[in-house]
Amino acid sequence: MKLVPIVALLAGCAPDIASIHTWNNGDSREPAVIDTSDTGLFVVETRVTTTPGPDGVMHTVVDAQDALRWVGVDFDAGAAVGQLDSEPGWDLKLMRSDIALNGGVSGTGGAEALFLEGQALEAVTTAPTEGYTVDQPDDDDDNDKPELVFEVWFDYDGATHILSPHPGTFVLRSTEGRHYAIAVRSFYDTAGTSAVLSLDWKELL
Amino acid sequence: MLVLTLASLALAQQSDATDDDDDVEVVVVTASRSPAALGEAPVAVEVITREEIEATGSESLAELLEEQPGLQIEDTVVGQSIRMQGMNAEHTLILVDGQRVLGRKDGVIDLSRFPMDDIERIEIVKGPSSSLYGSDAMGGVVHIITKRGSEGRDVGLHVRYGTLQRLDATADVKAGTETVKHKVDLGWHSSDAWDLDESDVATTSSAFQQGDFAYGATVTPDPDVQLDFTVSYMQRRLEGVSATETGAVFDNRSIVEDSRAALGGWWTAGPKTKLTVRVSGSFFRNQALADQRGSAALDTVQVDTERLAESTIQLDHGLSAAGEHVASLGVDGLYQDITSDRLGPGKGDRQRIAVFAQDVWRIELGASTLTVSPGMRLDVDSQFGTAPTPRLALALASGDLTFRLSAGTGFRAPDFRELYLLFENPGVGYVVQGNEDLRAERSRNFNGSVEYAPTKRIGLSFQAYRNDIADLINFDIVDAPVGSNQLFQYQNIDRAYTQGFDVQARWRPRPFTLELGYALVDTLDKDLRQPLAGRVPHRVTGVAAVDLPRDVSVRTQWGYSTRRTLYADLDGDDVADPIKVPECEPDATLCTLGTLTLDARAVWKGDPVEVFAGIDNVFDTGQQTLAPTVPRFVYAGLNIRGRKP
Repeated sequence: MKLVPIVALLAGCAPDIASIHTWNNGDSREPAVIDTSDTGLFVVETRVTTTPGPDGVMHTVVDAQDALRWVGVDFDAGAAVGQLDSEPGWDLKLMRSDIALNGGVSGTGGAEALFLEGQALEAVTTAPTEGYTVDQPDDDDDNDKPELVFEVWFDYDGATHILSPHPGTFVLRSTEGRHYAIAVRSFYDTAGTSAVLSLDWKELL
Repeated sequence: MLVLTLASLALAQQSDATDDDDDVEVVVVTASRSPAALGEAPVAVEVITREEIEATGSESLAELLEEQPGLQIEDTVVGQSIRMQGMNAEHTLILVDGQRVLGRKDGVIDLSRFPMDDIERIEIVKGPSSSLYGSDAMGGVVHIITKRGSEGRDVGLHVRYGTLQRLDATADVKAGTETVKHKVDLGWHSSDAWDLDESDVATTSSAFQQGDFAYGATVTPDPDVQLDFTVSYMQRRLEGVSATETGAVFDNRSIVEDSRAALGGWWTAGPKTKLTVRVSGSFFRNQALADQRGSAALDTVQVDTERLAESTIQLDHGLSAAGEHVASLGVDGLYQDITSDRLGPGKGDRQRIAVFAQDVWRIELGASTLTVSPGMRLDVDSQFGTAPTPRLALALASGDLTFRLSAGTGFRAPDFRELYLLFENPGVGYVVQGNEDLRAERSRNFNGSVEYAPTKRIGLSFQAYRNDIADLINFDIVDAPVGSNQLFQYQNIDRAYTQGFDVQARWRPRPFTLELGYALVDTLDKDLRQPLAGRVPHRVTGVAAVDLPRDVSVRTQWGYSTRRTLYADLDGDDVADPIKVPECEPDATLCTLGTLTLDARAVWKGDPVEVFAGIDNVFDTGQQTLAPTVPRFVYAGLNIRGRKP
């Protein structure tokens, strides 16, 4: 009998830590939450929300936290969740910091884009007529990713690992041939969560 | 070895009980895995006795070791770590009564979780001891020897209370007869969080509550046989607030549990032969919860569980009648497993078997004694194969002088984290990945020392060392997969050396005690051609104490460290830039020279009640970024001890 408490000590007798904690914003492990990775990171369901802003600029938040699943955005449908299994159903897809185009190696929808470095969204009022490219296969650089037109969207701080938007505006020629000016505003939401991207955009007529 | 420890403990206690001018020497076990008089140990051993532990007023192993010469105690985000001989934290093996301690996080065993309640003494061997202990003992060994039961009855109570609502309360009981002795130890330790930067919501350290319990029984049915049983359990709960550069704020909670049990014994099979057997088990679990404020997106619960089973059988056989030539042969077995949410496969295990042999041969050369001690250990590990670690140690004791020389090798097996980790930083999105193809780190070491001790009141020692390390495991950036910013993977990439020396002087003219230590550490990363990060190049430590009338004594301890160098890419050119820590204002001359810490303490030694008060970190040094340390801490308390023969 003396062995029983000894075995209990060796197996640990503390309570399950989650059972004694009151979560700030509800228990993140409720059924609506999907545990998508082996990292113990609980990720809320991916989503896209778009709200109108001043001067005809739309504000879209894309929750791209899931490192295993792309989130499509269909600008032709007002920047709604894009259907990735439908060829023209999306223009951009996002996963963590990667933004891919429905054109070239990333998709067959025929979308194209270009980057106007240093130009503010407000200053872009007409779509350039040339200079559009599509996502290319991986070249000899130091990663094994395709060469994405949107890969220049951020600057990376190696000391803090913080991503900040590189000044400039993208012009997207969508799967339906429309043109949109898009500026990435942030990689983080107000609670500091990464891979929740804020985009400001407007259609160029 | 546990029971050998007991034999030595009894002798050590005898020595403590006698006048310190007496010639009875402290007996140590760490240098050779067999009891040996401190002066005759084949390699230099530093001993911190119970009396010295109490004189410092330390409540945790971290507090105690930070004032020791030649050791560097550092506050890190994963706890208080130790460096010996300029090596990394993971290169110091920490043992409790011969058992390996579990719970390394990023290579660090948090020394603040080891309370002083149950510790009888600490033995420190600087330099590699892999020839006796195998993996991890590349920089040295810190061996905690716990208290044992005694005859009669002995009851002690200790209470300390201070700023930060820090409370330490412990009780211990020893009781027994000539054949059976028991000890029980109970401890409670708690503190508020502290914060060096009040401009944000994050705390620098976490609040904690810790309870610990230990029981030991020693049975000596016959002078030639001894059995020993120990069990201990510690639970520590921490609560703090952290913030990331992205603005995410987390309420963090964790529960750490650490328990161990051991059963061992020795049998003197004849005048020349002793057999020692021990089996032991250890358990460590860390449950960590992070609760993001304003969102549930980054909430995590992570549970790491480690288990370890060890067994040892050792035969010591005298090859001469007078016992001056003893050969030891032994076998160690080890099984370890881990389950962790951070590991790619979720769990890992390893088995290891090792054979070790050592010869300790004392040769009388006139008035001098030469001790020759060759040793060899061969580890066979299920993860990395075999690792032979030979060592040759020579000691020459001549009058008041002792010279020691040793040459040896050390190794460290890659740990489970380095083999299997799959961790994505939830705040900013980089990935760290283990590597199953890692080899063990290896080192070659030379140590030389001279000790001069004409009386117990005067002592001088000098120790010099050189370690050459190959296959050091470190992060390297590899191709990033889609969906991540950067991928770091563990690789055997670095070669380095560490070299330096320690000098210690002790002078105790009644009623004063004066001690002085100086350590020089010189390191080089041979590939990057720059000093290794975080090493303190020069450190001076000192103790000045005086016994005053009316049983009052005052003790001050101080430490002075020159600035250390860390590396980070500050200008975005992908090249790490050196940063001197602590960081200083441009005109802060004192700061640019180094950091001075001072602890002061006064004690009234009544019987059975002792009253004490003190201040730690009098100058309140410490910086939030890169050099945090506990702010000025004022405390008072009392000890009560009753003995019945």
